[in-house]
Amino acid sequence: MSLAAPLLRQAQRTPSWLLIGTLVPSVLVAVPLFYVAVRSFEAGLTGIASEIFRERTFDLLVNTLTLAACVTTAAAAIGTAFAWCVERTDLPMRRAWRVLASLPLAVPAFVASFAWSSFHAGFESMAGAIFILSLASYPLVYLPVAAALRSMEPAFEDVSRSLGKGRWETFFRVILPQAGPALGAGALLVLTHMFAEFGALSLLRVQTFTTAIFASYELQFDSATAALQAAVLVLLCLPAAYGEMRLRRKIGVARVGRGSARRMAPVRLGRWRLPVFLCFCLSFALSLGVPLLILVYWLTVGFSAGRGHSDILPAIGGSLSLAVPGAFVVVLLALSPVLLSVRHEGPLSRAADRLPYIVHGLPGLVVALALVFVSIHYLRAFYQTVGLLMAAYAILFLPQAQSALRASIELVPARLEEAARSLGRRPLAAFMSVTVPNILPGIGAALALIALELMRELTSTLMLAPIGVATLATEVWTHTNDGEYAAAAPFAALLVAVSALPVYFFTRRSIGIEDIQ
Amino acid sequence: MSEIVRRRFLQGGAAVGAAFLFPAPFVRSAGAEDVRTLILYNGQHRQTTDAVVQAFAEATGILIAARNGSSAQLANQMIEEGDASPADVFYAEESSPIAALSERGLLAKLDDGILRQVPARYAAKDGSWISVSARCRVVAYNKSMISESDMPASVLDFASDAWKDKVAIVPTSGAFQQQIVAVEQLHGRDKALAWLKGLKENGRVYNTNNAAMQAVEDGDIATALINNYYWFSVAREIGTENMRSALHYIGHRDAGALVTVSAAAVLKSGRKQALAQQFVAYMMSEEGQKVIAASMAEYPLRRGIKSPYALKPFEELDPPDIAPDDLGDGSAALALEREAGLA
Amino acid sequence: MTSISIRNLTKSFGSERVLRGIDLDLPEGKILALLGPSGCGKTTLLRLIAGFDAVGAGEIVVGGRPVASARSHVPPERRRIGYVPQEGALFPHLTLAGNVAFGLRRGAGRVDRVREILKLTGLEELGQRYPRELSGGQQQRGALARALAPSPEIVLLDEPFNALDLDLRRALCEEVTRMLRKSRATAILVTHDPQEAFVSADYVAVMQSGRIMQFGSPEAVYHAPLNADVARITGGCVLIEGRADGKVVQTDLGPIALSADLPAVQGAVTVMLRPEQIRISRQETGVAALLKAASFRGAHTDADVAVGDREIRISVPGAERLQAGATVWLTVEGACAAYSGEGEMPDRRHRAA
Repeated sequence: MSLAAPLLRQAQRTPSWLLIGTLVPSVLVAVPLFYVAVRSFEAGLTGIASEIFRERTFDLLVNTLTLAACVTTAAAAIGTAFAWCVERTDLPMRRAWRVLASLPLAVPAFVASFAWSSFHAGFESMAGAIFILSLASYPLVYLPVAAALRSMEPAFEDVSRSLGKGRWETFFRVILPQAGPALGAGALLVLTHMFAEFGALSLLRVQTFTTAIFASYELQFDSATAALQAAVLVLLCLPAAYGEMRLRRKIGVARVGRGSARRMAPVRLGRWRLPVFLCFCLSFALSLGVPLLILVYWLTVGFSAGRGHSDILPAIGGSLSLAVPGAFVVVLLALSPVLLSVRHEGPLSRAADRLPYIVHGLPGLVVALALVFVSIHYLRAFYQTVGLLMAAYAILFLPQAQSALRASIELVPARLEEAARSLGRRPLAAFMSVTVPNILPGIGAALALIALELMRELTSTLMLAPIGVATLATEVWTHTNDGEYAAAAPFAALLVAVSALPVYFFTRRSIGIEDIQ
Repeated sequence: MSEIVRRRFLQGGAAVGAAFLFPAPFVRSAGAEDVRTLILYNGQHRQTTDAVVQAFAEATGILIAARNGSSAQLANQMIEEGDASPADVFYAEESSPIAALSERGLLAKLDDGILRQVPARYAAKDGSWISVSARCRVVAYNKSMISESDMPASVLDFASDAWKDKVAIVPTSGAFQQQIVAVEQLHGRDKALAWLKGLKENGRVYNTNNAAMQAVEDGDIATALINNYYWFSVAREIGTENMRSALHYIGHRDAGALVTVSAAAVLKSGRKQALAQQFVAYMMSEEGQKVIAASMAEYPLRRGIKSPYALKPFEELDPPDIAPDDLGDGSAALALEREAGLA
Repeated sequence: MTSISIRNLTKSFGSERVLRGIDLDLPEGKILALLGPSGCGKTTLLRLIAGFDAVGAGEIVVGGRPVASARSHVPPERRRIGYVPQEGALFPHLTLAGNVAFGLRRGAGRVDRVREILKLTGLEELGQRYPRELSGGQQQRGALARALAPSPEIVLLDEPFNALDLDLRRALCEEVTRMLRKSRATAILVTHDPQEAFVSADYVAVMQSGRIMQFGSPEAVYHAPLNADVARITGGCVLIEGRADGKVVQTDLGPIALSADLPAVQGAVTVMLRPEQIRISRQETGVAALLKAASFRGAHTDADVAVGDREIRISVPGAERLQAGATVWLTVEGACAAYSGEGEMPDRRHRAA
């Protein structure tokens, strides 16, 4: 049966609405690729060669890879360790940690970087950047791995122990490989985030391809150099996205969310209980406490405190009016590719599903300029509408929505829809009436996550938002740009506070917090 | 929360979201179609722009909607937009992004009446843009790490080994680029390149001027090559009496004393030419210049207006004889920076 | 030599007492079936032996080595006890061969051992397949192969055939028994299916409410259950009243000999017969009865007959067509079990002869 199932599924006809629904995001994502290619070729072949084989390109490559590899590794290690401690041990206050451990997600990396660099200049270095960004991004690994651990068949661990493997060996040889797809997906997000990170790195004096792209656009006009650097970023994303795809295929569907009949007794940490607990407290203090304390500090010492307070409400309104509809658009666009790749597996559907990840490493600046270019040349009526900004949001954040949706879509068997079809529903109606209600939790999680990301998005919002619309993120940028740290502080704090809500919701959705012993 | 309640909540959320979403693609920039509203692409520090925009609205009743961003990014955006740009006026923090637009023929000629408000060297030769305010390249130094008497005579000296890890530079800043152009024009290409190579070797690279200034103030590094107003914005934030850093003006026509400007221009593609000219005229008027001068520590360029800040008098700066328009769009500097490995 | 020996084992989850004093001895190379309804504690007992949970009180000795008591707990990985969970649980990220090799030390013999075990379990062609590419039965045999590979002291099987359909289940059960015997493994199989227990095991331990009610050979447990509960757990049964006098019981079906395996009883008793012990005939021998209903089951027919005012269900072999409403005659074959009152106590020690 297991062999026959995929064959049968492929033989089934793919509904046309699903194909169209997948085509739209694929075309969107192709826009920046097209733009980068066109602009790169304007440099000519010799131009390309001389740009690629410069010493600086090599330096940037080393920096970019060092940062991305170290942060991804550290975030994967912290995220997995935290997930295991929260899900599988008698850690004190487990229930609370389940949410608290994901809360650093609410602190935008540029806020954390600003806090740490103003605390001590030593953090303005590669090592500092790795430290700060690892702390800021580990929840992207923690959340999916915790969800995978929670739903993993406990018998696997029993069998491994009975075959003579201790806890550690069991963890590394049985638990970890099976959490692999979840871990891989999380790590891929962190990796591509690092490729595209700008705000934090510009504060921390680390030069990567993305900071170089920004610099190129600062230093020159209609830049082929920036396009070439962006092309390199895309090339860097390719092997990562491919590797993650292989991992997912090899291990197959992680059994996420199914819940096991028998709850495992938590592992006793014994004398490690207190040290582990203190580790959690420490990471919480470092990732959340320090940034917030610095914001408070600036608020008390800066003369610009209170400036722009009348902008607070419009900024909150601006943030919400872009982030909420934006989240709906992005999640709606992400649905089809995930559905297609889960229900109608094949090389094409897999490619359509993975394409957005390749562009995920591009900074918002390139995506925004690409959309300006394409809409000015081909869709002029569309330019400077909210729609174009939504398109930018979709290009930037589709992969996150896809990851959040995937788990819940995998749980809804195609049979349900077949039953609805047999009861006389047309394909789309069957989908709406049967599948959608069952994946609502996943949709909720995806909406929360995307709203969170959109609220902190800066570059494409600056370039593409309707004129006159300010958001919390753009206000923070404006005030810090003018050196008005105290004026920036309340906006930054609000950004963290408003972000905490979707983080809480997303955490609940993805791993649940009620049903812990 | 029960599953049913949760579902309801989600469904409700979906409905609300859909309601938000539905009109979204049809919403254009607020008021952009209004004939009485000017569209300003603003790369200048926002406190300044906000002040002058507000004063203009009070004086004329004309509303201005601004897209904020970094000057260079906005210039790149306008270049992509071409003649479809919705922008009427561009107010740039530095002159090079505006020069880039001028080179591409995207700017309209300003009225002669406007151009006459400043000395000729502060207007573009073709009349396509005008300098609004000026500032000076300076050396910010930490008073407890170095004394002013140890400052070199020329900015070129910072490239020497003696200054290893003692000087902060911001290669991505437009003003630094303009300084490179000034060095090249004063001393020739070879010397400029050697200077940059020395700075790459001995200087410490910061990504923003604010960060470099803050580093000097915090004692992380002894000196920084920046514009004078960055010191004043820190001073305004924490109080002048608390400042641990000070400014050194190099003077005697050295490239280190270069005067650079913020600038404004009217877009050729704008549909509200008269209003746009009116706004730039206001920026250069006595009233407008006073507002701008009050909002930040720069030298107003209209004759007879004084900055309320304790700036070194403009006449004493003794800058090199290089007009803003001579600095161009900075592409010459970029080639040098790339060769030196700074970009 | 005794492979496993359990003394006075108890276990509670919270206030719920799941095991209430288990004593058990199993010789090396023998197969024991733990038979009982769900919730009787049989899976818990298995998990305590494996070491997945800590014991409450009592002691478990495996191969002469104490592995668990209230004070000490040898972790599962050091007990050398193989475990086959429900639904097999082959590691999805490893091939079948990878699964089998999982518990083996790295070294020269590893590949050979994997091949040997796969051959034993009839899976030699499938070593490179992933679990999702195997059928349910193959997965189950693979799980057994994995458990057997490191030559464990004991193999524990936790309702391993539960998820399979009936035919496959019976066939696989016999096959697995054959493999276990071939590998000379000592094994404990948890099941709620008496047929599975009888087919596979040398000994059956019948559990109920956290206790072992009876321990013995499949035949003894089936034909001489110690009480009515054990009788019901181990198969279909017919319960009628009777009066016992030593080794013979007088019943409505006539005098029936008491099983030699059971102690003598006196007075009013409940008599237990297996349905197939009661023979039906049209010749007038034995006790007359009215055939109330008959349902054809293929190899046998279930017949409801009334003897006096008592109705009992019996099992009639063969193709004989039975007509409801007819009068038939019943005779009893073999010995019966008889219990006086409700006071039958389970025996305390369960030791294989």
